[in-house]
Amino acid sequence: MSFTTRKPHVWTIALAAALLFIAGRATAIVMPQDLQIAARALGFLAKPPSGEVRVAVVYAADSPQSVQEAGHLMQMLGNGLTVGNITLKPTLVSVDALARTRAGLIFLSPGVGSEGRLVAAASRSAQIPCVTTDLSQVRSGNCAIGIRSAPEIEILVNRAAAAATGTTFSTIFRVMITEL
Amino acid sequence: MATPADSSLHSIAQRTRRKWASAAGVALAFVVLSRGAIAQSIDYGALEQLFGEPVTASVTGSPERQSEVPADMEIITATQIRRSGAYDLPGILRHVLGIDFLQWSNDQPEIGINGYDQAFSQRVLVLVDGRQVYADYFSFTPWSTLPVELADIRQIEVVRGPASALFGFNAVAGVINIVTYHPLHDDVNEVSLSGGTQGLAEASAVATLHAAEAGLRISGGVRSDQDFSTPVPAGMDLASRHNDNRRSIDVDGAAKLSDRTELRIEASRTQAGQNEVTPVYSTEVTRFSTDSIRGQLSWDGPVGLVTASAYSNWIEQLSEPGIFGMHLDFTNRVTVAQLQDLFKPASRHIVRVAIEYRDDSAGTTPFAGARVFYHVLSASGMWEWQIASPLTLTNAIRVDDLELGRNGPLPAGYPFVQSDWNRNIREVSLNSGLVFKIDGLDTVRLTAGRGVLLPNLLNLGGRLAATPGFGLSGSPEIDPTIVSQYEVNWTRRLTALDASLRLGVFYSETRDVQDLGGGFSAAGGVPYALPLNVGSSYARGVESALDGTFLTHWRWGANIRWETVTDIFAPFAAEGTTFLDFDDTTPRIIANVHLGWSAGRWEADTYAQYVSHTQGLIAVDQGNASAPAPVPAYTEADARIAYRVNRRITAALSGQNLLHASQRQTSGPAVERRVLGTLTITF
Repeated sequence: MSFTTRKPHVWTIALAAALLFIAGRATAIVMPQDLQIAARALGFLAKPPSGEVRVAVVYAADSPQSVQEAGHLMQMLGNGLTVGNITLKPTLVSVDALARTRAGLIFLSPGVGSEGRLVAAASRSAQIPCVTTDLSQVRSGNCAIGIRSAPEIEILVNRAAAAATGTTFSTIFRVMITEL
Repeated sequence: MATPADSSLHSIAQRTRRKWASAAGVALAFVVLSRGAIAQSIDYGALEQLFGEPVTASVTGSPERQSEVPADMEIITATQIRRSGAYDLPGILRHVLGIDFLQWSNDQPEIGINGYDQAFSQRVLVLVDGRQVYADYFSFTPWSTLPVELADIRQIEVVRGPASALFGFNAVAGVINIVTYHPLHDDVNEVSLSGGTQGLAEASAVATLHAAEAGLRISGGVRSDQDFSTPVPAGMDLASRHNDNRRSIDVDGAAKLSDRTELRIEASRTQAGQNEVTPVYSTEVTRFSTDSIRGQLSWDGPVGLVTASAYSNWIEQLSEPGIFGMHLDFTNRVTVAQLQDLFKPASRHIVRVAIEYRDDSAGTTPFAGARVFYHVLSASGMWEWQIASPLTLTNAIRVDDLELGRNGPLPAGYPFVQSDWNRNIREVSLNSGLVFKIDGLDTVRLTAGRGVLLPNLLNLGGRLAATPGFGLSGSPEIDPTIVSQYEVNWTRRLTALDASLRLGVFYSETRDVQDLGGGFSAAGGVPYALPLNVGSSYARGVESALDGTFLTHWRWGANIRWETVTDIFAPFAAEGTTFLDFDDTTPRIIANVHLGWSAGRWEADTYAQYVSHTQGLIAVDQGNASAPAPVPAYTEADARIAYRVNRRITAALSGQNLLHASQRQTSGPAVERRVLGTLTITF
């Protein structure tokens, strides 16, 4: 598992803003607290990251919800979100392009639907952990880690998906979360 | 002029200085160890930030979110400790739901849970980071000897109800686990100076050092004050009051040895002197000297989180005037070694298994030269099953196999022979809890527990006062006390009020209650008074708590416990004649309210408590028996106001028992009003 970094291009942020404009206004599913939880959860990996972590914010181009949520995520992450001793550096990536993208973490936007299987394949191939607030993707095994912060904090881990991507957590973390 | 007791303490000091120096040297070595890793101790701070609520391992031995524990428990955070204004650990606990608080002297408060409190309270097991600090040679917690400064504490976990399946003997009414900041994960640096009434002068300091993957925390404190000057009731007044004092130092180091392995070593020493009311309701002056050393190795691997730990506690207690004019000199050593594995064999199942060996011994006193001891081999297991998303069942069982023994001389005319101590005691402890999270707002818990209160070493023969015509002794024949408790409680988040509500109902049975007196034997030719199992006791109660915040700057809380206790004792022990009387000494009602406010640099909190009328016990018949004495209902109040001078310095004024200059709260001396000022500097 690698946590390589590269500064996001200006055009990535511009594209994110455009996506937000195209998708129109609607209630976002991903909350700022979700990102905080995701970042803190990484600290309980068997080999926790530190420093800058390149995050591939993945969206499905033909899903308006996914497009909107991905744009919202990019806005929240901005030029980098620092939580504890890691800084999440985002880059916007479509599902189709994910296999060609180098990243240390995948954040799967809600609404990807059946294209989540492409994300699963890419994450397994590159041995990259996947995080999402779309718990259906965790239950289907397309993404290893699910985060929900309301009405209460819930962390869901698909054991098979985690094993397939080399994502291993400490025992202390595992006994405190829900595993599938 | 030095007394034999002083000489004994001096020799103890020499031995323990060498032990402490070597332990501190080992701990210091961890400062320079540096290996990158992901080793496995519970990082309470990181887990609390992750889950947005406190985390505890004091219920099942597995870390859990406070909202999900299968027990009735409460966590007191460091912020709440600061706002309490208390200057000692029992003062922090006083206003917690379910806590019984008896202040016998200025530095001898006693803590009980759900009633049954007394001088030298027996039924609550007290731990620091899982290490026992409860003195099981006499079944009590000498609070002044705990090697913990208030600034050391991350949180205090209060578990109400039997918890012997995890912690073993003596956790029958509940457990208080004091969790300190971790030298590896936390960084606490603080100096605190206090002065106040009763001649209080106290200094305390905590410092943390980090170097790569290692950390070291050193803390210590000194305190001196005077006892209350209120009159001692007739019959209790055996000892002249001395000034109280306390000195303590603790060295705690941890290091990551590899990717998956962590080592922690701790050593501590305390000395304390204080005036006390004894379990037979006389007064004494006591000097304590305690030492401890502990090591813990954790490894997170394919078989789960494996933890091996071992600790030894040494305690010496010198008490005057003693028995029959002879000083009491208790010496106790307990050594515990444990191996535990915590693992998750399937997605919905968590298992913890452990084995433990305990060696506990005490010298006889005042008759010297013999020792009473026991070895305990224990096996325990916990299984948590997430049956469905909202429903979790947890079961724990522990089997303790105890071998009792004695060596050394026997006095002439003694009713027992050495072989009477060749006894095996085997007991099973159980805990079960069903947690039903109905929705995001409501949680219902059903819990049941069976706990074992072992006779202490003094009652097993460590106490031995022999004269040619009469004697006082422990007995190898006394049986453990069994406590069973059943509880249903409901918690609900009141989002509209930004508050939470808790409501619970409990019932407990106590069988084979141990009494200090009541037994008698002249089998050896000399009559001896002995301890005895005297009967059963039953309690039922309702408890409720409500707390919340409002208008951004305000916080509030209220709790109430209603409880009734029924003792069914042998006739000779009825009505409090043999130093036991739980149904009359447990208050029917204890209620607390709290109001706090914070804004800018200011912070203020006030607490009030009402305790309904009860009886207390006083010694009669020259201390050979006891009798109940009325204790009227009372209301007391504590408060604290603090000003943050800058980001490093805070000045605070706090007080306890503020409503009256003195107030009768027990059958002992009246409690005085206490006021203190504290300057805290962080760095």
